[in-house]
Amino acid sequence: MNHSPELPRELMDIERALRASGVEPDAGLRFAVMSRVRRELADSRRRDFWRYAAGVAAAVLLILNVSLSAVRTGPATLASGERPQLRAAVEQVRQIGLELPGQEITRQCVLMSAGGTLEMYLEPYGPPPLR
Amino acid sequence: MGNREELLSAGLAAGDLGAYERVYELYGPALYRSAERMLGNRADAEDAVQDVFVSLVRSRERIGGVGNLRAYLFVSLRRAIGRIRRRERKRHSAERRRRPPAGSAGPEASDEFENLRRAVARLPAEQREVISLKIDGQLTFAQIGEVLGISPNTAASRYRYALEKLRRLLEKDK
Repeated sequence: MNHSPELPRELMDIERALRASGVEPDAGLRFAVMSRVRRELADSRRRDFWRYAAGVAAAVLLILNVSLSAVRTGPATLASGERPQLRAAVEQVRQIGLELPGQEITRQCVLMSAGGTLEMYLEPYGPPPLR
Repeated sequence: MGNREELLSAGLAAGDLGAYERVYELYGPALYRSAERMLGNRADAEDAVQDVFVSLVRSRERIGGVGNLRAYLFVSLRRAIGRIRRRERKRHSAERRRRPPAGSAGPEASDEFENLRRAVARLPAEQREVISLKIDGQLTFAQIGEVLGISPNTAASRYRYALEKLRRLLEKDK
């Protein structure tokens, strides 16, 4: 594209002069631009990684939260095949006479037994002796 | 969009450094000439071109949807020029005042070119913009319309008015 053909000659001359008057960039500009691009690409890759890591962390937290929430609020009843120690523990706690609903006692016992190495230690005690 | 531009856009989106080098080869000098004519000094024009490429990296995921890469880059340049002007209005540092005045191309420019550049610097901003996009950016009137958000006919008539005004300014200076 040289000049606009519909222009009168004197405007075409100005157009030509304008084209010739353009200032070319220094050779260093290319280097400066590419350095900025390289830096920006590295930064954006780093940002992408942290964004991904944050996403994974958020997903893990969500799953943990949902699991814990299910354990805390889900129905806690013992099926017939449940471990006899657990059933005994529930029974023991119930006999103590703590003011806890039955489901809550079961939940606490399940949580304690789920601790693996955590030994369930319940020292039964009854109401204070009458004097 | 042509097949070559599609490949280039894919490279840009993938963060391929070679694609950015190719874009600089194709459009860098034109972006610089345009920025220099609009801003009137080399340092700011260089900043503007660098800003365009930084924006290109930051928005590379959306580059696939761009219809015309040249027009897109000049839209980006226009924004960069706007940012630099706002920054300069705030700063007005002594260092800037010591630089050659707006419209100066440096010691190598002839008197004729210097007069022409001074005349361009006296045009209203919107006419100077059309001149710079047409002459330096080598954009078609349709592309200029796309960059400026005006119709191609408006771009063409604005360009012609700008040239006529330049002619009058140059005649007055003689």
